[in-house]
Amino acid sequence: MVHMSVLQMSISAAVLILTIVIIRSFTIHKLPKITFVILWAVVLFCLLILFSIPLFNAALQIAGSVFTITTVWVIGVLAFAFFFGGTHFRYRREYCASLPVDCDTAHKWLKEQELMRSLQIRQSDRIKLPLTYGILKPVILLPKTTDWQNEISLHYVLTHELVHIKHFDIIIKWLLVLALCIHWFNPLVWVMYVFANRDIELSCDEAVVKVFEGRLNPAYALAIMRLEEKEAAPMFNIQSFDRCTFEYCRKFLKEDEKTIGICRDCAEIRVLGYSKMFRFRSIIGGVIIGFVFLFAPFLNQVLGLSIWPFDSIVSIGFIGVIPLIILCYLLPFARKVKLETIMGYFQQKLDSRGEDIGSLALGIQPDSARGRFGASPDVYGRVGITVIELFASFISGPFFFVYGIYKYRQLTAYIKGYRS
Amino acid sequence: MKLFDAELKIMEILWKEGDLTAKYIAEILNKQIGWSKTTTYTMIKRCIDKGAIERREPNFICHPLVTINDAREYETTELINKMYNGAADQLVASMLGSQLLSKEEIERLKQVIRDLE
Repeated sequence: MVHMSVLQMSISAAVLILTIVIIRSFTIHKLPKITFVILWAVVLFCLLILFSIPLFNAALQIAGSVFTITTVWVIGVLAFAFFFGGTHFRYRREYCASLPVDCDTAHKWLKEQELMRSLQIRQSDRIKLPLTYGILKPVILLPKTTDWQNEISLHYVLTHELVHIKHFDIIIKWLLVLALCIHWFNPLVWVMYVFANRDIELSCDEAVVKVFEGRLNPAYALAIMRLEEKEAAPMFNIQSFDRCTFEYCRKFLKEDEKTIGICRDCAEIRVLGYSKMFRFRSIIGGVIIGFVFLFAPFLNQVLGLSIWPFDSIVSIGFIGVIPLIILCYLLPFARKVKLETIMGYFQQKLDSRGEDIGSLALGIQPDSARGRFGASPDVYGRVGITVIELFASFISGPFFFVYGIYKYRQLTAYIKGYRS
Repeated sequence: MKLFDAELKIMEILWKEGDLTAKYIAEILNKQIGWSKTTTYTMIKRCIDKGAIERREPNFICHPLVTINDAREYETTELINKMYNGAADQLVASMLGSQLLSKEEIERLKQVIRDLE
């Protein structure tokens, strides 16, 4: 029973991740953030080395047969690898076409740094936020619109990026992507992906604040730091953690708000939205789950037991769980698209009124006519959002059935605590 | 036509030196700003797709279709529309007011206006 061993592996990984998530939620403000980065590295090691070998073995053993779960898995791995790789190379091409920086402050700073690798600072008019790319020859890429005269903010931004380079964060991020591609079917690996990326940023901030300790107000430092900077490797950065990305809110989050990932004012609005969505999606979710479990044995008969290698009870579980997992994980995709599109749209509106907090902090004046990489969400974008939302509502029912209740309760508790 | 910085970099060389082979442009840019050959070719291709450069054979000779004046005019119009609500005279007025122009430059402008009349 090769499948069972793979399933068991995945379950043990899930338990490990879940344990860390629980520990993390209790101790996030007490322990140095680097602790969690190390913990995630341990999980990554397990996922990539201990748990992946049986997966590949299983793939090889069943390579001969026509259609199995393994085939689905391989297709999934290839699809995700293609998705992440493709996006990366598309962006990377833009980054390579960057120009040298003509700024004395930056050059002076660069000379002061000691790094074994050759470090460059370049600028581009195709990006809006600072980022870093390259492992052996790291490059700090700054937007053309950076305020080159503002020495303090420039130093902060550069130091933040340098810490990423020194910690080799890109490698961890790439390994996370790799683990995600191999274990794409495991919901908790996705959870890990989100949390680990966030912890990398938090631990980076921690290091930067230490560098500047005593020299400047840490709150101010954080405000600048918390410009969602993007690294070249992972394209799936969920941005909603450091800054409230609920609709148009661009507030930087306070420490206690970060745990929820949403500012207090927006939480209230979101709860209103949730209660409606909650009912709708739970009903659909219940229907889907009920349908799958009621009809699973019937489906199995139709499919023929020769194709399905399990006995009936296991296969009921499998038929129930697998579509559930697959469907659930379409939701983050849809939400990501929605977030990006909405953010782009409101960013334009804010830009035109010059009210973007993030940009003000860095002295960036985003070019509203352009949008990132020329993609400006317009009417099509908004129609797209509606379609995606509708689609997401239908497919994310089961996911919401589990996650929605948790989030809803968390938010209501949050607001209650705030009011009292 | 909107030209991004990377594309402008290639156009600048063509405006300065006239028609050049893609290979030569790649060499210049590699020395000047450290672009790899692939990067330069990608950007040249993008310019061709946009209609800013025409590819001529043999040897992949690049011929600029957009002049420096076209590019300047586009950027100026953008600026006027964005910051001055489309009123070009206000741009000139604000430049005169902010002492960006030297006395000689102002004299030259006066001459340009006189010539127009």
